[in-house]
Amino acid sequence: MRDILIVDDSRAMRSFLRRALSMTSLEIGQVHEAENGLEALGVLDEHKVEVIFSDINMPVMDGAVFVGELAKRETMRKIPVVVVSTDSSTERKEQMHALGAKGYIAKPFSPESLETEVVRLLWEASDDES
Amino acid sequence: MKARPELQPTLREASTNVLETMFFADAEPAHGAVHSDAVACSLLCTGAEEGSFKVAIDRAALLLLCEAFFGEDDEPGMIRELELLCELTNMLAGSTLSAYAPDHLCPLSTPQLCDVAAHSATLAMPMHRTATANFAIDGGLISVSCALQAAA
Repeated sequence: MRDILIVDDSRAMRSFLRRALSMTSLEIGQVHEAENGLEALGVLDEHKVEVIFSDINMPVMDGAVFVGELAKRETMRKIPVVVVSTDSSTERKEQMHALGAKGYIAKPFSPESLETEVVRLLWEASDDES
Repeated sequence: MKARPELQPTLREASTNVLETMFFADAEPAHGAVHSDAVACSLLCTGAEEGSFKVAIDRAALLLLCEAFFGEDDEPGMIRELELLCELTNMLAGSTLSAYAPDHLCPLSTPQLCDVAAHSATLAMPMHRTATANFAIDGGLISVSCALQAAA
């Protein structure tokens, strides 16, 4: 079972991501939620997760700062972050990858594409460990 | 700066894609206007393209989109519907801009509920390219409009 963290200021998107994940064949354990990057760092201090889905535009701490903060923390830097955003511009994707995001899903997306991205990331993560 | 594609088909295709992929809706291009009970939402974009997006939708159609998006088990309610309208507006604007100006950043403001009657009047700004795409979906009509201008 994979525990997951969803970081998005939109309650609607957090609910949709939960629902989309439940529609995949992934074995999902606990799904934690946070409304911004700062709240997410607090959740990660308390819980271990295997994948993080993060929006970019959020109040308090946005997705770019959040991904940068994760990279600074020894215990969190290896957790793969998938950016979920309506912004699929080349510039934004390059920016987020440079900061340390491992995946990028542009809205609109289907549960199938979500599953494909998570499987790819987990595969890469297990490859890195071995 | 690369030449931009045509705005009208870009808006139409991006909107169809969002409605079909995220809301499992059958979106057919349509004419006409939303009903008097419709609700609307707008946002501004800045960066490489400056302008605004507005979405107006019949209440019954929004309710069905809500059920499709959250699932039937989810707690219904007006607040939930309006939250979804804001999210829908954000997705429609982001998707359109990603296809229209794929190499550039166009940050979006927080979507705000707005007056349906003022829906098209605010789009009539000089120098802006405008486009509107109306769709018939289950429950009624949804109208997506935008006005954009390349930043100097």
